[in-house]
Amino acid sequence: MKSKRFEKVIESTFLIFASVSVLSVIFITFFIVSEGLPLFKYIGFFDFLLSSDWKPTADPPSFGILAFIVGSFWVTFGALLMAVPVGLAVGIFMAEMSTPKSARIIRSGVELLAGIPSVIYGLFGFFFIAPIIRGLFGSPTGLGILTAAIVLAIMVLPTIINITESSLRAVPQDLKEGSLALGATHWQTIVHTIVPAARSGIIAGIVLGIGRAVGETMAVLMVAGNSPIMPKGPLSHVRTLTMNIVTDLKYAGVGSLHETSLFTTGIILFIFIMITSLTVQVYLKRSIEKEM
Amino acid sequence: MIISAHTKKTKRQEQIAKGFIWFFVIFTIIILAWIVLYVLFRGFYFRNEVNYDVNDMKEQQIILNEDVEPVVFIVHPGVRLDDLTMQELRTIYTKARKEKWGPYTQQDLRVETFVLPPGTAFTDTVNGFIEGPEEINKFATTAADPQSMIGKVSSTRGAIGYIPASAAEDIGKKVKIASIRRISAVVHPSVKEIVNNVQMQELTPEQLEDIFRGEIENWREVGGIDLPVRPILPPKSLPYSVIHEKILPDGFIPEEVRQTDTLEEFCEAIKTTPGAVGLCFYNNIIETGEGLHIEEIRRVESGMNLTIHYLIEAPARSGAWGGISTIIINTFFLILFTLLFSTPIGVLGAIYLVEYARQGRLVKILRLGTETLAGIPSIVFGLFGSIFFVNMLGLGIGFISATLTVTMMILPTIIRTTEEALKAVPISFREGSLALGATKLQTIARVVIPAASPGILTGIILAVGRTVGETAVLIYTLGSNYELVRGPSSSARVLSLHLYNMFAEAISFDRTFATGAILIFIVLLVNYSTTKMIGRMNRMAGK
Repeated sequence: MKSKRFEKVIESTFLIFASVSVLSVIFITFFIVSEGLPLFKYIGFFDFLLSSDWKPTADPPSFGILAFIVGSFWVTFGALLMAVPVGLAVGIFMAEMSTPKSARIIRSGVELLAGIPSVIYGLFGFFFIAPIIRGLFGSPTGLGILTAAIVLAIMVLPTIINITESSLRAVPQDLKEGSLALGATHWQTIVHTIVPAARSGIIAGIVLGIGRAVGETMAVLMVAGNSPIMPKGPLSHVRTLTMNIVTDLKYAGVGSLHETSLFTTGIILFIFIMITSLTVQVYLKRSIEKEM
Repeated sequence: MIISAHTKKTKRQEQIAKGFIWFFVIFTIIILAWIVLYVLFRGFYFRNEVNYDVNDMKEQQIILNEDVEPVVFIVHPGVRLDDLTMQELRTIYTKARKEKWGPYTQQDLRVETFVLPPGTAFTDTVNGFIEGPEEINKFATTAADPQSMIGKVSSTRGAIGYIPASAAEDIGKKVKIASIRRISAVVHPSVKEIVNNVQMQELTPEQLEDIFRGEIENWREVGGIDLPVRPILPPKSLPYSVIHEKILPDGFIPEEVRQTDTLEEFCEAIKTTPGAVGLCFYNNIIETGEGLHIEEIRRVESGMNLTIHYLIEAPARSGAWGGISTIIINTFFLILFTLLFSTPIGVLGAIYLVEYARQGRLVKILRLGTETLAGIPSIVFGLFGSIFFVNMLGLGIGFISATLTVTMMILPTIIRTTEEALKAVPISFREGSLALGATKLQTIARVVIPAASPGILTGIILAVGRTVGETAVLIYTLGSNYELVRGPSSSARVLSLHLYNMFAEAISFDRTFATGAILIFIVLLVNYSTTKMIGRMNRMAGK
């Protein structure tokens, strides 16, 4: 009987460990929200969200993050525009067109790409991509939305490739065989049968990529130029939500409204991420259910 | 067989489509290889253009005048010095505060200056040479004679001294000879005039040589204004003969080059001839050539960037000097302590999810929590860490706050990989063990975990990779102190933070890349070991 009780104790201990991540999410949500919400006692919700006037240290201060939301949007959109076609192509190649050996080689390459620290991407973007942009388009520094989008595109590529590949592989073999038996060519099978069947998974991968791109901080910080103004074009310097937090936290006074406003920026970022994260869950679940 | 036009068209379209796919695949691989090679290359090799007020002609034995022996400057072998400019030599000997070698060799090492006792013609001449308009500082130690000078310089770290050339013949490897660069170029102001918004850039040593060989006749040829070049040489007397030997080794002076007979005549000629350029010793120009404009000379400096010294020396001056040894150790400690916290939590949590939990609402919530945690950006973790661990729990910006925050961040990586590994263990293993009378806990500890260990290890290695690469979460939880971490609340720097700080403060781009190359190495190592682990796992599963 004693050993039975012991097993029970062990089980509940394990349960505690298993709930650490849920508790972490709850803690993080709670603290970011409770630190950030008090801002709205002083500033209207829409003033915060729909003004692009960011002067946190002026008198009176103004906290408008529209420019950063727009910045995050353009940088992410540009990155996805470049990464999705490439990512889909590589995923399709690995799942359908390559030999197991070359798929393995590409896979470890993609893993390497995913493992490279973001500061390295930033360094590469600043010293390699920015001079090219400067030379091609004649912008004064070469930093800005376009450069940041290119760097981010490389960074989200592994996410899109991995999920595309695994959801294409998860498509049941009989679907593929059915299509081939009906006389469709390999390519027609890929385009008309396999990719549509794996659609949910592919969408999940793209949404996950959006989450990565919106949340990325260091690489964009190094290549986006970081001016808190409304971006005017693809070569314009830009500040994203994450950049705003990391830049301003350095000099925001402890307990000041300025610091609070950064946590509020964090809330907005957090909401974005939660939406993408939940969308991914929904789509992944759908793709698993389809398999069944 | 009949192939219709339609099929042909489809076939061609398919080939084009497949061609695009191939193109994108190759494109991706090229980008990856390029990033890795670019950072590694710039990490290992540097090439910079540096402007100096002297030429790159080095002299080991320096002839000062006809009456005394040439002088040789010697340094302690630990000083990584090839050459010093005349001005640097003077700064080292005359600065009121003790200099460090940092600006010249990037070493965090004090300069110890040595002189010979005054009174002899040799010593007085040399001292006058290195003093210039100032006085030799009070820190200079006097060595009794050249032999004791060699002894003292060879036994004092960071030492620099001088000896007569005759004593330098048998110094062996006890001390290193420091070459001095003291030949400056002076030009008439007309040469540097700005016309149409264009001013002549700094000359290179090669261009200067060509000018004195008569191969460049107009300043236009080196990016200046339309003005004939008028090269002027200093007198041919003994100390200046060095210039003649180095610039015109065959002794032939082209007729365009004007040879002056005295230093005064030389200075006068430079001042009064439009388009004039002359070569003379830096110290003579400073002392007698009032009003002369020293033209800077651009030297290309290149070499190894990531040296063994960079790995084993402690950083100084925000990383501008020294190496990154303490930062590597800090990184190691951060990894170690993060794993110490996150491995038990992650592995035991995953065991609960796979081995104990009934698949239901609770497990769904726990899984959702892990997935959500994995999606939270690192800057949000940084915000949370700075408000919760740093402020609310009062742990302060430092090692323990950073460790706990990073633990939360890498937890999903460990949980997910461990879950996968546990699920891959065949159910028959568990049944066999249970049938033999083992309890559930015994089965897990003795059978399931050993079988899943390569997978669990893969997760841990992946977590190491993430810890090494994270930066945003650490800025406001770990701080930026580049010294060795001393305790739980001591602020510290890890490799990625050091890289970012050096980049943001524009300390040295060469050193930023050297740190980046080390990061790339770690990532390659992580990638290699996970691939090996997964290979082993597959082999085990295959058996």
